[in-house]
Amino acid sequence: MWKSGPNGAGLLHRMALPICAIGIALIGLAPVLSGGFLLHYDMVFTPRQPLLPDVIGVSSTLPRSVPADAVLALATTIVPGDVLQKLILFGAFVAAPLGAGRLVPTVSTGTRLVAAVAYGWTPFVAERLFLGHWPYLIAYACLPWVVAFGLALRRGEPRALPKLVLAIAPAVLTPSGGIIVCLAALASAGVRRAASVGGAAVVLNAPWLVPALLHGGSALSSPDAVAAFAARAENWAGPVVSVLGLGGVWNADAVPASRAVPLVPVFTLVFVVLALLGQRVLASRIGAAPARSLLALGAGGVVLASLATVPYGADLLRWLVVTVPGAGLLRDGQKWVALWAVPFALGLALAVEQAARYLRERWQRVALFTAAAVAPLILLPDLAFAGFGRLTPVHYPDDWRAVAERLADDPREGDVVALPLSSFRVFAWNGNRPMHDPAPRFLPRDTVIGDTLYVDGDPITGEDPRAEQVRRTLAADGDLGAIGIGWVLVEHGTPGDVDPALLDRLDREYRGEWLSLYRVAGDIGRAQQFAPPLVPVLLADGLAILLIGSSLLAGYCPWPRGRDRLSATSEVEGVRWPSS
Amino acid sequence: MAKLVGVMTSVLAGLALAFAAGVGLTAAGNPDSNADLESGLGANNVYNNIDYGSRLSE
Repeated sequence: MWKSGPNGAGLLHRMALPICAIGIALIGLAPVLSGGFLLHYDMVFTPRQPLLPDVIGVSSTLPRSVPADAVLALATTIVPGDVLQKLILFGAFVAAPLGAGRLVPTVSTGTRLVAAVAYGWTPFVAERLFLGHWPYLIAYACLPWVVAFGLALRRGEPRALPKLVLAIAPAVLTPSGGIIVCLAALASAGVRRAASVGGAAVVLNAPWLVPALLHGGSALSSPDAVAAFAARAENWAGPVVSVLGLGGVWNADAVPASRAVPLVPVFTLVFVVLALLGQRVLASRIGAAPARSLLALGAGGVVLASLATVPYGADLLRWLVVTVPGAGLLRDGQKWVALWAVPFALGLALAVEQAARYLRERWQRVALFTAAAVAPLILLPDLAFAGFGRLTPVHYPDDWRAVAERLADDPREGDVVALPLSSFRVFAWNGNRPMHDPAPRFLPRDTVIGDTLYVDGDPITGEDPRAEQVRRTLAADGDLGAIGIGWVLVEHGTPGDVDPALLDRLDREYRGEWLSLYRVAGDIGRAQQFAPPLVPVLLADGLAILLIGSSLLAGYCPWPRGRDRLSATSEVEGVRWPSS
Repeated sequence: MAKLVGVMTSVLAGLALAFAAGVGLTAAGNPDSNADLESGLGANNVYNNIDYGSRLSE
């Protein structure tokens, strides 16, 4: 077997995994790491995101991007938004394969490389990147680290809990990411640690959980979302096989073309069988109980991801999203397949390692590892270079900065409504790529945008009561000032109508090629309060920050740690396996 | 060590292959470039709703 050892090759063996991880990130992202913003579907970064109440969930919208927006608002006070965006994406692309390669319980560098590529170069990564779901990529990158520290906690290693907390923290930027990693933490840490892990999970997720619970509007979702966002068949084998292969996202536009190749399902099933065979090896090395828990969690992820595509599953989901507040998290269920990625990558790598034992010649074993490591790249070539043109950095037109400065400098009251009233924009300056309206993240005032989503032209009603209030007022030619709207932003060059009669009643303050800003004449009233109260939300944020800060001290403060040295590694087949 | 270098080279070769295949796929057609929308400089056109996405294959 090809193992690391205390010889001259040790350094290269140690560096092989980081080199592989950085290589994956570079090939995946290199062309888009230059200046400018990647603005694609839900991925909207701005030069400096204003620190408004809505970034912590104190707004009329459900906290789907909380505390991600708060973190971006704080971070962009130090780092420009486009630089921050690239750091986040590159970091996620490196951390995912690096974490998986370190997690696999082996002394074989080849096995680590197979696990790293199998985890870091997947349809899940490609599709979520092309859909702009960068928080999911972070959560995905955190998963193997969370499992590693969860297993360390299960083994009773010192300082494992604070390290687990720190591994979870980046993933709780959004509700779904937080839930995914916390489930993985609970499964890997085991029942005996459930109380401490569960408590930490609740505190870490409190920044979105508290505003969601105290939200003034409905936390129920439209039942139409279940069918629209259900996992999708990417080839002849149907949605379940697509999901098993870590793909199947609902949006066909985000799916790499290679996923439709007829042989893909065959390779998918071969890999799944190998991954399942590898579970026995995994169990023999990390213990039957944790291996079983991780596999069960992965299976649960596949079931949840496929639920809307199987008989009665869609009915169950529809009932849930209209009955149980917050169950809307279950829509776009394909994201839960991330839970399958860890046992899949580990099992596949260990199965390859086991198969290599049957090969007599060294070159044969090397060839096997090489083929296994390269296979994911061959099967998904169009993730390379961020999809070869799917993502291209662009710069915001100067109009955006001009309007933001005008709104910041003007002392008059009032929120902003962005027209056309739509969630998404398609601008020629962004290559006609669909992108979420950047106005709420660019302008220094609360900004109302449309919240109805359209999939294949079919509307999915949103949940923002303020957007509904604005929609009704516009439809009735009512007084926007009476509902707290002091400004109207008209975005040009994007699909959608704006009523000229409305603009005639407004005072134009700015006119540019891409944006116009109008002021609502007369008195501006107070906006109806749909937002949750500020104090409990701030308390939740403070608790989470306190937990992360104390974990940083407890996990990495250089106070005496003699016991750590004795137990920070585990024995795997007679060779110490770094646990963290 | 030579074996490790061999595997690493192969992985990088695979990435290069990914690159080449991606170039081919891109040349075959980038789905995002198919948006047949007016640029509408300085004016709003009459399309009403922008799809968040589509479940239909091209």
